[in-house]
Amino acid sequence: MGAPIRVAHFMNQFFAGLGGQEAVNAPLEVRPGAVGPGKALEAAAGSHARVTVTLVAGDGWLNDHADEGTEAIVSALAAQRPDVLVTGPAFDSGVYGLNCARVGNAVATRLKLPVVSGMFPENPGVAAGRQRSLIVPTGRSAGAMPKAIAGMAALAVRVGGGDRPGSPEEAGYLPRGIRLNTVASRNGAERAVEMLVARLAGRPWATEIPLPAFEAVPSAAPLASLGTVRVGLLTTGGIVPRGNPDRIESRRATQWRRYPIEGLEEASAARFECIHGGFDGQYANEDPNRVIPIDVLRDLEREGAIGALVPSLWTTTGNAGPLDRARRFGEEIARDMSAAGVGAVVLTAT
Amino acid sequence: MPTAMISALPQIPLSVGVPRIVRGRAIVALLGEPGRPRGEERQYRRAVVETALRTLTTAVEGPTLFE
Repeated sequence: MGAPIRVAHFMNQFFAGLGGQEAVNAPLEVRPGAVGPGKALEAAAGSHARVTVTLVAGDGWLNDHADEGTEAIVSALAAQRPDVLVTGPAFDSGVYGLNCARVGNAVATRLKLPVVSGMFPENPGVAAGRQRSLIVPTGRSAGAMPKAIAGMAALAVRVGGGDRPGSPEEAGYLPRGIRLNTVASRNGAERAVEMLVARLAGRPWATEIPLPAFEAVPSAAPLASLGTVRVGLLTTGGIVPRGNPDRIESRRATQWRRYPIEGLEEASAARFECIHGGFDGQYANEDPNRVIPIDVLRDLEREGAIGALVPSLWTTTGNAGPLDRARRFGEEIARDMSAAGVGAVVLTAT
Repeated sequence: MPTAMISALPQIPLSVGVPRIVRGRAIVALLGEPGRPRGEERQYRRAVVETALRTLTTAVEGPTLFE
Protein backbone atom coordinates (compact mmCIF):
# COMPACT_ATOMS: atom_id res chain seq x y z
CA MET A 1 0.00 0.00 0.00
CA GLY A 2 1.42 3.34 -1.07
CA ALA A 3 0.53 6.90 -0.09
CA PRO A 4 -2.87 7.50 1.51
CA ILE A 5 -5.82 7.89 -0.89
CA ARG A 6 -6.90 11.51 -1.22
CA VAL A 7 -10.61 11.80 -0.48
CA ALA A 8 -12.91 14.73 -1.24
CA HIS A 9 -16.06 14.75 0.88
CA PHE A 10 -19.40 16.40 0.05
CA MET A 11 -21.96 16.98 2.80
CA ASN A 12 -24.90 19.18 3.75
CA GLN A 13 -25.25 21.98 6.27
CA PHE A 14 -26.48 19.74 9.07
CA PHE A 15 -23.56 17.31 9.10
CA ALA A 16 -21.10 20.17 8.69
CA GLY A 17 -22.40 21.62 11.95
CA LEU A 18 -24.05 24.74 10.49
CA GLY A 19 -27.49 23.87 11.82
CA GLY A 20 -30.64 22.25 10.50
CA GLN A 21 -33.48 23.89 8.59
CA GLU A 22 -32.26 27.36 9.53
CA ALA A 23 -29.04 26.80 7.56
CA VAL A 24 -30.67 24.99 4.67
CA ASN A 25 -29.80 27.80 2.26
CA ALA A 26 -26.09 27.95 3.09
CA PRO A 27 -24.17 28.42 -0.16
CA LEU A 28 -21.24 26.21 -1.15
CA GLU A 29 -18.18 26.33 1.10
CA VAL A 30 -14.94 24.58 0.33
CA ARG A 31 -13.05 23.69 3.50
CA PRO A 32 -9.62 22.07 3.82
CA GLY A 33 -9.44 18.73 5.56
CA ALA A 34 -12.11 16.62 7.20
CA VAL A 35 -15.32 17.98 8.73
CA GLY A 36 -17.86 16.19 10.95
CA PRO A 37 -18.44 12.64 9.63
CA GLY A 38 -15.34 13.08 7.46
CA LYS A 39 -13.28 12.68 10.61
CA ALA A 40 -14.96 9.36 11.29
CA LEU A 41 -14.30 8.42 7.67
CA GLU A 42 -10.58 9.13 8.13
CA ALA A 43 -10.50 7.18 11.37
CA ALA A 44 -12.20 4.21 9.72
CA ALA A 45 -9.78 4.28 6.79
CA GLY A 46 -6.74 4.54 9.06
CA SER A 47 -3.54 5.35 7.25
CA HIS A 48 -5.07 4.36 3.91
CA ALA A 49 -6.92 7.64 3.29
CA ARG A 50 -6.93 11.35 4.09
CA VAL A 51 -9.85 13.71 3.56
CA THR A 52 -8.08 16.58 1.83
CA VAL A 53 -11.11 18.79 1.13
CA THR A 54 -14.72 19.03 2.30
CA LEU A 55 -17.46 20.64 0.22
CA VAL A 56 -20.45 21.86 2.21
CA ALA A 57 -23.69 23.07 0.66
CA GLY A 58 -27.11 23.66 2.21
CA ASP A 59 -29.73 21.19 0.99
CA GLY A 60 -32.02 24.01 -0.09
CA TRP A 61 -29.27 26.06 -1.72
CA LEU A 62 -28.02 23.19 -3.86
CA ASN A 63 -31.56 22.16 -4.77
CA ASP A 64 -32.36 25.70 -5.92
CA HIS A 65 -28.98 26.31 -7.62
CA ALA A 66 -28.41 22.83 -8.99
CA ASP A 67 -26.52 23.71 -12.16
CA GLU A 68 -24.46 26.53 -10.70
CA GLY A 69 -23.74 24.53 -7.56
CA THR A 70 -22.62 21.32 -9.24
CA GLU A 71 -20.52 23.36 -11.69
CA ALA A 72 -18.74 25.03 -8.76
CA ILE A 73 -18.16 21.65 -7.10
CA VAL A 74 -16.78 20.13 -10.30
CA SER A 75 -14.42 23.10 -10.70
CA ALA A 76 -13.23 22.89 -7.11
CA LEU A 77 -12.52 19.18 -7.47
CA ALA A 78 -10.84 19.58 -10.85
CA ALA A 79 -8.34 21.82 -9.08
CA GLN A 80 -7.99 19.54 -6.03
CA ARG A 81 -7.61 16.30 -8.02
CA PRO A 82 -8.71 13.83 -5.31
CA ASP A 83 -8.64 10.07 -5.88
CA VAL A 84 -12.26 9.56 -4.86
CA LEU A 85 -15.32 11.60 -3.91
CA VAL A 86 -17.44 10.55 -0.94
CA THR A 87 -20.93 12.06 -0.62
CA GLY A 88 -23.14 11.89 2.48
CA PRO A 89 -24.08 9.55 4.08
CA ALA A 90 -27.59 10.92 3.51
CA PHE A 91 -29.50 8.16 5.40
CA ASP A 92 -33.19 8.67 4.59
CA SER A 93 -33.13 12.37 3.84
CA GLY A 94 -34.58 12.58 0.33
CA VAL A 95 -33.42 16.11 -0.51
CA TYR A 96 -29.88 15.40 0.75
CA GLY A 97 -29.80 12.06 -1.07
CA LEU A 98 -30.89 13.67 -4.32
CA ASN A 99 -28.19 16.31 -3.92
CA CYS A 100 -25.56 13.61 -3.27
CA ALA A 101 -26.76 11.86 -6.43
CA ARG A 102 -26.64 15.06 -8.44
CA VAL A 103 -23.10 15.88 -7.28
CA GLY A 104 -21.94 12.29 -7.77
CA ASN A 105 -23.36 12.12 -11.29
CA ALA A 106 -21.64 15.35 -12.33
CA VAL A 107 -18.28 14.45 -10.81
CA ALA A 108 -18.28 10.89 -12.14
CA THR A 109 -19.17 12.03 -15.64
CA ARG A 110 -17.08 15.18 -15.92
CA LEU A 111 -14.00 14.26 -13.87
CA LYS A 112 -14.13 10.47 -14.25
CA LEU A 113 -13.65 10.07 -10.49
CA PRO A 114 -15.05 7.15 -8.54
CA VAL A 115 -17.83 8.26 -6.17
CA VAL A 116 -18.92 6.49 -2.99
CA SER A 117 -22.05 7.38 -1.06
CA GLY A 118 -24.29 6.02 1.69
CA MET A 119 -28.10 6.09 1.74
CA PHE A 120 -31.07 4.26 3.14
CA PRO A 121 -32.21 1.98 0.27
CA GLU A 122 -35.58 3.78 -0.12
CA ASN A 123 -33.95 7.20 -0.46
CA PRO A 124 -34.92 8.65 -3.87
CA GLY A 125 -31.23 9.55 -4.25
CA VAL A 126 -30.57 5.85 -4.82
CA ALA A 127 -32.61 5.68 -8.02
CA ALA A 128 -31.14 8.99 -9.15
CA GLY A 129 -27.53 8.25 -8.34
CA ARG A 130 -26.75 4.56 -8.23
CA GLN A 131 -25.55 4.30 -11.82
CA ARG A 132 -22.63 6.63 -11.14
CA SER A 133 -22.09 6.42 -7.39
CA LEU A 134 -21.40 3.27 -5.41
CA ILE A 135 -24.06 3.62 -2.73
CA VAL A 136 -23.54 1.75 0.52
CA PRO A 137 -26.92 0.86 2.08
CA THR A 138 -27.38 2.47 5.49
CA GLY A 139 -29.97 2.63 8.26
CA ARG A 140 -32.54 5.41 8.33
CA SER A 141 -30.85 7.98 10.54
CA ALA A 142 -27.54 9.23 11.87
CA GLY A 143 -27.65 6.61 14.62
CA ALA A 144 -26.47 4.27 11.88
CA MET A 145 -23.41 6.44 11.17
CA PRO A 146 -20.62 4.14 12.41
CA LYS A 147 -21.67 1.19 10.28
CA ALA A 148 -22.31 3.43 7.26
CA ILE A 149 -18.91 5.09 7.57
CA ALA A 150 -17.12 1.76 7.94
CA GLY A 151 -18.68 0.45 4.71
CA MET A 152 -18.06 3.70 2.84
CA ALA A 153 -14.46 3.99 3.99
CA ALA A 154 -13.58 0.47 2.89
CA LEU A 155 -15.16 0.98 -0.52
CA ALA A 156 -13.59 4.44 -0.96
CA VAL A 157 -10.11 3.08 -0.22
CA ARG A 158 -10.64 0.26 -2.68
CA VAL A 159 -11.86 2.34 -5.62
CA GLY A 160 -9.74 5.38 -4.74
CA GLY A 161 -6.72 3.13 -5.05
CA GLY A 162 -7.71 2.27 -8.59
CA ASP A 163 -9.22 -1.14 -7.90
CA ARG A 164 -12.56 -2.23 -9.35
CA PRO A 165 -15.41 -2.24 -6.84
CA GLY A 166 -16.27 -5.90 -7.15
CA SER A 167 -19.79 -7.24 -7.01
CA PRO A 168 -22.42 -5.40 -4.92
CA GLU A 169 -22.89 -8.35 -2.59
CA GLU A 170 -19.22 -8.73 -1.91
CA ALA A 171 -18.25 -5.05 -1.67
CA GLY A 172 -21.38 -3.92 0.18
CA TYR A 173 -23.09 -1.44 -2.12
CA LEU A 174 -26.54 -1.30 -3.74
CA PRO A 175 -26.80 -3.07 -7.11
CA ARG A 176 -26.58 -0.71 -10.06
CA GLY A 177 -28.48 -2.77 -12.54
CA ILE A 178 -25.30 -3.41 -14.47
CA ARG A 179 -25.18 -6.76 -16.18
CA LEU A 180 -21.79 -8.34 -16.66
CA ASN A 181 -21.57 -11.16 -19.13
CA THR A 182 -20.19 -14.32 -17.61
CA VAL A 183 -20.04 -17.84 -18.95
CA ALA A 184 -22.07 -20.31 -16.92
CA SER A 185 -21.15 -23.95 -16.76
CA ARG A 186 -24.70 -25.05 -17.54
CA ASN A 187 -27.13 -23.61 -20.06
CA GLY A 188 -30.16 -21.46 -19.27
CA ALA A 189 -32.64 -24.32 -19.64
CA GLU A 190 -30.84 -26.41 -17.03
CA ARG A 191 -30.52 -23.47 -14.64
CA ALA A 192 -34.19 -22.55 -15.04
CA VAL A 193 -35.37 -26.09 -14.35
CA GLU A 194 -33.11 -26.31 -11.33
CA MET A 195 -34.57 -23.03 -10.03
CA LEU A 196 -38.12 -24.30 -10.55
CA VAL A 197 -37.44 -27.61 -8.83
CA ALA A 198 -35.90 -25.81 -5.84
CA ARG A 199 -38.86 -23.46 -5.62
CA LEU A 200 -41.43 -26.27 -5.81
CA ALA A 201 -39.53 -28.22 -3.17
CA GLY A 202 -39.48 -25.19 -0.87
CA ARG A 203 -35.68 -24.99 -1.01
CA PRO A 204 -33.90 -21.62 -1.24
CA TRP A 205 -33.58 -20.30 -4.78
CA ALA A 206 -32.49 -17.01 -6.33
CA THR A 207 -33.64 -15.31 -9.49
CA GLU A 208 -30.99 -14.31 -12.00
CA ILE A 209 -33.01 -11.27 -13.00
CA PRO A 210 -34.44 -9.34 -10.04
CA LEU A 211 -37.37 -7.15 -11.07
CA PRO A 212 -37.26 -3.42 -10.15
CA ALA A 213 -38.79 -2.54 -6.81
CA PHE A 214 -41.26 0.08 -8.05
CA GLU A 215 -44.08 -1.45 -10.01
CA ALA A 216 -45.44 0.64 -12.89
CA VAL A 217 -48.52 2.62 -11.88
CA PRO A 218 -51.09 2.29 -14.64
CA SER A 219 -52.50 5.70 -15.42
CA ALA A 220 -56.22 6.24 -14.92
CA ALA A 221 -58.09 7.17 -18.08
CA PRO A 222 -58.53 10.90 -18.56
CA LEU A 223 -61.95 12.44 -17.96
CA ALA A 224 -63.77 14.07 -20.85
CA SER A 225 -64.28 17.27 -18.89
CA LEU A 226 -64.28 18.45 -15.28
CA GLY A 227 -67.47 20.50 -15.29
CA THR A 228 -69.43 17.82 -13.42
CA VAL A 229 -66.55 16.17 -11.62
CA ARG A 230 -66.19 16.15 -7.84
CA VAL A 231 -62.53 16.90 -7.14
CA GLY A 232 -60.89 15.59 -3.98
CA LEU A 233 -57.93 17.37 -2.36
CA LEU A 234 -55.18 15.23 -0.85
CA THR A 235 -51.89 16.39 0.60
CA THR A 236 -48.74 14.77 1.96
CA GLY A 237 -47.59 18.18 3.14
CA GLY A 238 -48.65 17.57 6.72
CA ILE A 239 -51.39 20.23 6.84
CA VAL A 240 -53.77 19.53 9.73
CA PRO A 241 -56.35 21.43 11.79
CA ARG A 242 -54.64 23.70 14.34
CA GLY A 243 -53.64 21.68 17.36
CA ASN A 244 -53.16 18.50 15.30
CA PRO A 245 -56.08 16.81 17.09
CA ASP A 246 -55.20 13.31 15.94
CA ARG A 247 -51.49 13.74 16.55
CA ILE A 248 -50.39 12.94 13.04
CA GLU A 249 -46.63 12.47 13.22
CA SER A 250 -44.23 14.92 11.57
CA ARG A 251 -42.17 12.05 10.20
CA ARG A 252 -42.94 8.42 9.38
CA ALA A 253 -46.63 9.11 9.90
CA THR A 254 -48.64 6.10 11.01
CA GLN A 255 -51.97 7.54 9.90
CA TRP A 256 -53.78 9.61 7.32
CA ARG A 257 -56.92 11.57 8.16
CA ARG A 258 -59.88 13.19 6.51
CA TYR A 259 -61.04 16.56 7.83
CA PRO A 260 -64.12 18.58 6.84
CA ILE A 261 -63.53 21.72 4.81
CA GLU A 262 -67.24 22.39 4.28
CA GLY A 263 -68.02 26.06 3.86
CA LEU A 264 -64.38 27.14 3.85
CA GLU A 265 -63.52 29.61 1.12
CA GLU A 266 -59.79 29.24 1.76
CA ALA A 267 -57.28 27.52 4.04
CA SER A 268 -56.67 30.05 6.78
CA ALA A 269 -53.76 30.18 9.19
CA ALA A 270 -56.30 30.31 12.00
CA ARG A 271 -57.69 26.92 11.12
CA PHE A 272 -54.69 24.95 9.82
CA GLU A 273 -51.07 24.36 10.62
CA CYS A 274 -48.18 22.52 9.03
CA ILE A 275 -46.67 19.70 11.06
CA HIS A 276 -44.39 18.26 8.37
CA GLY A 277 -40.96 17.71 9.91
CA GLY A 278 -39.00 17.65 6.67
CA PHE A 279 -39.04 21.32 5.78
CA ASP A 280 -39.42 24.74 7.40
CA GLY A 281 -43.19 25.20 7.72
CA GLN A 282 -43.04 28.98 8.12
CA TYR A 283 -44.57 29.83 4.73
CA ALA A 284 -47.11 27.04 4.92
CA ASN A 285 -48.19 28.23 8.38
CA GLU A 286 -48.48 31.82 7.16
CA ASP A 287 -50.80 30.79 4.39
CA PRO A 288 -51.84 27.13 4.21
CA ASN A 289 -53.30 27.70 0.74
CA ARG A 290 -49.69 27.41 -0.38
CA VAL A 291 -49.97 23.68 0.30
CA ILE A 292 -53.75 23.05 0.24
CA PRO A 293 -55.04 25.43 -2.45
CA ILE A 294 -58.62 25.61 -1.18
CA ASP A 295 -58.86 29.28 -2.20
CA VAL A 296 -58.30 28.78 -5.92
CA LEU A 297 -60.21 25.49 -6.00
CA ARG A 298 -63.24 27.33 -4.61
CA ASP A 299 -62.85 30.01 -7.29
CA LEU A 300 -62.72 27.31 -9.94
CA GLU A 301 -65.75 25.59 -8.43
CA ARG A 302 -67.72 28.84 -8.45
CA GLU A 303 -66.81 29.43 -12.07
CA GLY A 304 -67.91 25.94 -13.06
CA ALA A 305 -64.43 24.80 -14.13
CA ILE A 306 -64.94 21.84 -11.78
CA GLY A 307 -68.23 20.33 -10.65
CA ALA A 308 -67.37 20.62 -6.97
CA LEU A 309 -64.54 20.61 -4.47
CA VAL A 310 -65.42 17.70 -2.19
CA PRO A 311 -65.83 19.18 1.32
CA SER A 312 -63.03 17.06 2.82
CA LEU A 313 -59.27 17.35 3.07
CA TRP A 314 -57.34 14.09 3.01
CA THR A 315 -53.99 14.57 4.67
CA THR A 316 -50.88 12.94 6.04
CA THR A 317 -47.17 13.68 6.38
CA GLY A 318 -45.08 12.33 3.56
CA ASN A 319 -41.72 12.53 5.33
CA ALA A 320 -39.52 9.43 5.25
CA GLY A 321 -42.61 7.28 5.17
CA PRO A 322 -41.90 3.59 4.70
CA LEU A 323 -42.90 2.53 1.21
CA ASP A 324 -45.16 -0.34 2.20
CA ARG A 325 -47.10 1.96 4.52
CA ALA A 326 -47.35 4.62 1.80
CA ARG A 327 -48.74 1.99 -0.56
CA ARG A 328 -51.34 0.95 2.01
CA PHE A 329 -52.31 4.58 2.70
CA GLY A 330 -52.77 5.11 -1.03
CA GLU A 331 -55.13 2.15 -1.29
CA GLU A 332 -57.11 3.16 1.78
CA ILE A 333 -57.39 6.81 0.73
CA ALA A 334 -58.46 5.79 -2.77
CA ARG A 335 -61.26 3.66 -1.33
CA ASP A 336 -62.34 6.44 1.03
CA MET A 337 -62.32 9.04 -1.74
CA SER A 338 -64.25 6.75 -4.02
CA ALA A 339 -66.91 6.25 -1.36
CA ALA A 340 -67.13 10.05 -1.06
CA GLY A 341 -67.88 10.35 -4.76
CA VAL A 342 -64.51 11.79 -5.74
CA GLY A 343 -63.99 11.58 -9.51
CA ALA A 344 -60.52 13.11 -9.75
CA VAL A 345 -57.77 14.02 -7.30
CA VAL A 346 -55.37 16.89 -6.80
CA LEU A 347 -52.45 15.71 -4.68
CA THR A 348 -50.03 18.27 -3.29
CA ALA A 349 -46.63 16.99 -2.20
CA THR A 350 -43.84 19.14 -0.84
CA MET B 1 -59.68 8.19 -10.47
CA PRO B 2 -57.16 10.28 -12.37
CA THR B 3 -54.79 12.04 -9.98
CA ALA B 4 -52.71 15.14 -10.63
CA MET B 5 -49.67 15.38 -8.38
CA ILE B 6 -48.16 18.80 -7.70
CA SER B 7 -44.59 18.30 -6.51
CA ALA B 8 -41.63 20.51 -5.66
CA LEU B 9 -39.23 17.73 -6.65
CA PRO B 10 -40.71 16.24 -9.84
CA GLN B 11 -37.76 13.90 -10.32
CA ILE B 12 -39.09 11.79 -7.47
CA PRO B 13 -42.58 11.06 -8.83
CA LEU B 14 -41.07 10.73 -12.32
CA SER B 15 -38.71 8.07 -11.07
CA VAL B 16 -41.39 6.03 -9.32
CA GLY B 17 -43.89 6.11 -12.15
CA VAL B 18 -46.52 8.68 -11.13
CA PRO B 19 -48.51 9.30 -14.34
CA ARG B 20 -49.54 12.99 -14.02
CA ILE B 21 -47.08 15.43 -12.48
CA VAL B 22 -46.99 19.22 -12.24
CA ARG B 23 -44.10 21.20 -10.82
CA GLY B 24 -44.70 23.47 -7.82
CA ARG B 25 -42.59 26.44 -6.78
CA ALA B 26 -40.46 25.14 -3.88
CA ILE B 27 -40.48 22.66 -1.02
CA VAL B 28 -41.23 25.37 1.52
CA ALA B 29 -43.92 27.08 -0.57
CA LEU B 30 -45.34 24.60 -3.06
CA LEU B 31 -48.10 26.82 -4.42
CA GLY B 32 -46.95 30.22 -3.31
CA GLU B 33 -44.51 33.01 -3.87
CA PRO B 34 -43.76 34.45 -0.44
CA GLY B 35 -42.65 38.04 -0.83
CA ARG B 36 -45.02 38.70 -3.71
CA PRO B 37 -48.25 40.60 -3.11
CA ARG B 38 -51.03 38.22 -2.12
CA GLY B 39 -52.97 38.82 -5.31
CA GLU B 40 -50.04 37.80 -7.51
CA GLU B 41 -49.41 34.75 -5.39
CA ARG B 42 -53.00 33.64 -5.74
CA GLN B 43 -52.75 34.10 -9.51
CA TYR B 44 -49.63 31.95 -9.60
CA ARG B 45 -51.36 29.32 -7.45
CA ARG B 46 -54.35 29.29 -9.73
CA ALA B 47 -52.16 28.84 -12.81
CA VAL B 48 -50.47 25.78 -11.31
CA VAL B 49 -53.77 24.28 -10.13
CA GLU B 50 -55.27 24.86 -13.58
CA THR B 51 -52.35 22.98 -15.10
CA ALA B 52 -52.98 20.19 -12.62
CA LEU B 53 -56.66 20.06 -13.59
CA ARG B 54 -55.68 19.99 -17.27
CA THR B 55 -53.70 16.79 -16.70
CA LEU B 56 -56.90 15.08 -15.54
CA THR B 57 -58.47 15.40 -18.98
CA THR B 58 -55.27 14.40 -20.81
CA ALA B 59 -54.26 10.85 -21.66
CA VAL B 60 -50.75 9.93 -20.58
CA GLU B 61 -48.42 7.04 -21.28
CA GLY B 62 -45.94 6.61 -18.51
CA PRO B 63 -44.83 9.26 -16.02
CA THR B 64 -45.40 12.72 -17.52
CA LEU B 65 -44.34 16.13 -16.24
CA PHE B 66 -46.75 18.79 -17.48
CA GLU B 67 -45.34 22.32 -17.76
